[in-house]
Formats: sequence, structure tokens, C-alpha cells
Amino acid sequence: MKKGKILIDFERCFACKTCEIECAFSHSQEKDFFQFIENPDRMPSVRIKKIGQYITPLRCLHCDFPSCVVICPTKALKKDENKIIIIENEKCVGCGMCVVVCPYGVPHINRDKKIYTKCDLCIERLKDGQLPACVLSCPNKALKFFEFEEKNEKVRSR
Amino acid sequence: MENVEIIIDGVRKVVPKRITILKVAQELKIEIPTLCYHPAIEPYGACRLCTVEIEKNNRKMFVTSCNYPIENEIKIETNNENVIKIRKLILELLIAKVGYKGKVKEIAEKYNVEPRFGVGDDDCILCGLCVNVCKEIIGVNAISFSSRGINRDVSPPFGKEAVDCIGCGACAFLCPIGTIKIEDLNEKRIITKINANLELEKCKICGKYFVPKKFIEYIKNKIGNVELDVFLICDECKGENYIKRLASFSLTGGKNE
Ligand code: SF4
Ligand code: FES
Repeated sequence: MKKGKILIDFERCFACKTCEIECAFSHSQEKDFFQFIENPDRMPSVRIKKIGQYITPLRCLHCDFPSCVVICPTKALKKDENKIIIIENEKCVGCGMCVVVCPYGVPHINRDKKIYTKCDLCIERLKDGQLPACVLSCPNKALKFFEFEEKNEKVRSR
Repeated sequence: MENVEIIIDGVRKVVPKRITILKVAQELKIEIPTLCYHPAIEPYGACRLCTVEIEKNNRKMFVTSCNYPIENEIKIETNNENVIKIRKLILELLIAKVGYKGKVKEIAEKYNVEPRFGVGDDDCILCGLCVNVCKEIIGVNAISFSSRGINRDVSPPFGKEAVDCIGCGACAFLCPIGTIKIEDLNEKRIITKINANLELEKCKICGKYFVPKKFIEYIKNKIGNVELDVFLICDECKGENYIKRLASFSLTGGKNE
């Protein structure tokens, strides 16, 4: 299992939106890419934001003290042992409290399709030793994966 | 914790005592249709669609799997002829009440139901998800069941207006047939069926109406009366704020050259 965080070199992002597509596709049920593009069943959990000259892929920061986890009334959101904030989709009741308390405006609830989207750091891929989809796909390397080394881990917990 | 041994669809399995049949089935990836069950809410056992057949002390009977705790050694059949017959009948009755809507339609198609009792046009299957989520999870109790018998329905107090509703929308999210709908019209949020009418808060930055005032009040109380700026800013603007802050740390000021 890979452990780490996604870092953004945000002067390199030129808003091609590859990461958005890869993110949504890698989390969707659909296996066929062309089918997926025509009828996406999932929204991306990383979104390109452009404000004036600034462009940044915005995704969950996996905070150390996450307010969304604290407020979630069904404990659908939780911090796992690798410090990744994950959502158990079945438990979500769509109340939207996390949307209000998140300081960065990350969680999204689609009321029509009844899905909740938030970055899970591609936990399934990390377990297989792969990089997160957005990091792997970024053509200009604006997204990087910073891996914690065992040594670092110890230092952090000390 | 004590364990018991059960046989489910011919497979022997040791399970912890008092776990429900539905949970065991879901672990084994056995499909049981449900309408009124939600993992975060206490099982209510209203729709009966999750019926399975069990054999206990050599006697066969039907139980609802979502709220049946396994106490002793039993044999469970989740998908035999009898069970399917019962599920079909329940679906026929549901269709007679509400017609082909949402999850009822989905499941009925899977079971190839041919409705003998007509196709109705009611708007509620009385699954109770909306009432229970409001009571158990949100803790607001804005809506409840009213009347008895065929007049039973979900409604706000005295059938008037849901005055306690905070407008979170969990009921709309869970309703399996899509009866409860949220409509945001400028400064008002209207929730159909439960008749709620809420004032929305304006985003401090862009001025868009985005979340009910009462909902913010509720969250404030929940975390101990803390007033935070982020509650009054819509998610788009929150993202933008964050990026601006990031940019101020960057050497080139975030220019893309
Ligand atoms: S309004 Fe919808 S959620 Fe509420 S009891 Fe009726 S069918 Fe169930
Ligand atoms: S899901 Fe068990 S009775 Fe409705």
C-alpha cells in the first residue's frame, strides 16, 4: 500500500481537465471509456478552478482535524488508519452538513442522481501500489504524489 | 461475542449472534431487494420486500430479513420459489398503490411483475424512510405519519406547514420513489410533499442564495454555538478563497507563464 498526499504545483496547471475525466472514470461503474464519456454515471471529485490568472485542481485536502467527519450524523465519513478521509456511500443520507462545514467547498451532493462525491485519494489504487488517477494522468505534472517514507511516519508520530 | 452457525442458501456460515439476516446476505453478496431499509437507520420493516424463508426447529416461516436478528441455528432460503412468489405479490400491491415509480419500478422490472390489481397513482409507499431519518439521524422530527388505515400518509404537523423543518433535504435524498422534491427559487427553498418553505441564506461573497438559514442555525447549535465564517459562504466561493490564499504563498503570484 502506498501512503502519502497529493501535492499541487499549481503554476503548472493549464486547465486541460484530464484529471477531472480520469478521476470520474476511475471511480465509475462503467468500464468502457467511450460509453462513460457519453453517459457519465459519476462526477469528478477533483475540479479545476480558475480565478483570474490562477488555475488550480481543487480536491479534498484530507485535513488532520476534519470538520466534515465531526459533523457527519451517520458516521458515513471517517478517517481511516492511513489518515485518508473516506465515505461509506451506503450510509450517506444526503443531509449536506459536510458541504456547509467544509472550509474549502470540496464535498458535492448530487440530489438527482443520489451520489456523493469526494476525493478518497484513490484508495483502491493505492492498495494495489498504483498512483492516484489524477496524479498519473496529469500531462504537465502539476499534481504530484508525495510518498511518506517509513522513517517519516515515525518522525510524524513522535 | 457469541457465534451461531447458520445455513444460508445451502452455505454453512458462522455468524455473530443477533446480526440480521440481511447483513449476512449482503456480506455474502446475496441480493435481497429492499425498499425501507437504510444502513444508517434502525430497520423499520414496513415494505416486507426483503422477505426470506427460514426453517427453525423444523418449522418453516417467512420473516423480513432486514429486522430479523439471528438467535439460534436456522436454515435460510433467500431466493426460492415461495419467496419470489411473495415478493411478486408485494410488488403487485405496491404498483396498485403508486404505479411504476423510482425504485419500485426498478425492482418490479427485475422480477417481471404483471400487475393484476391495476396501476395506481398515489405518491407514497409508507416506507417511513423520510420520517425516520428526520427523527433518528437529524433529530428534528419535522414530519410524521398521520391518520390510520388507507388514509395513512406522511405529513407535517396538522397537515399544514413543516415549521420545524431545517431544510437539509435528507428525506428527499432517501425517498425511494422520488416523491419529496427540493426546489430552490431565489431566496426560498420549497420542499414538496412535506410542505416546507424555508428562507435561504445569501453567500457573503457572490450573493447567491445557497443554504437554508435554519440549517446553518442547526449546525451552529450542533457544534456548540460557534459562529464560523465558512457557514455563510457558498462552496464555489470557498474553493476560490482557498486558491487565492494558496496563490499568496507562491513566488510568482500564481502566474501561468
Ligand atoms: S414520502 Fe417517500 S420516503 Fe416518505 S414514507 Fe412515502 S415513500 Fe417513503
Ligand atoms: S426492507 Fe425489510 S421490510 Fe422493507
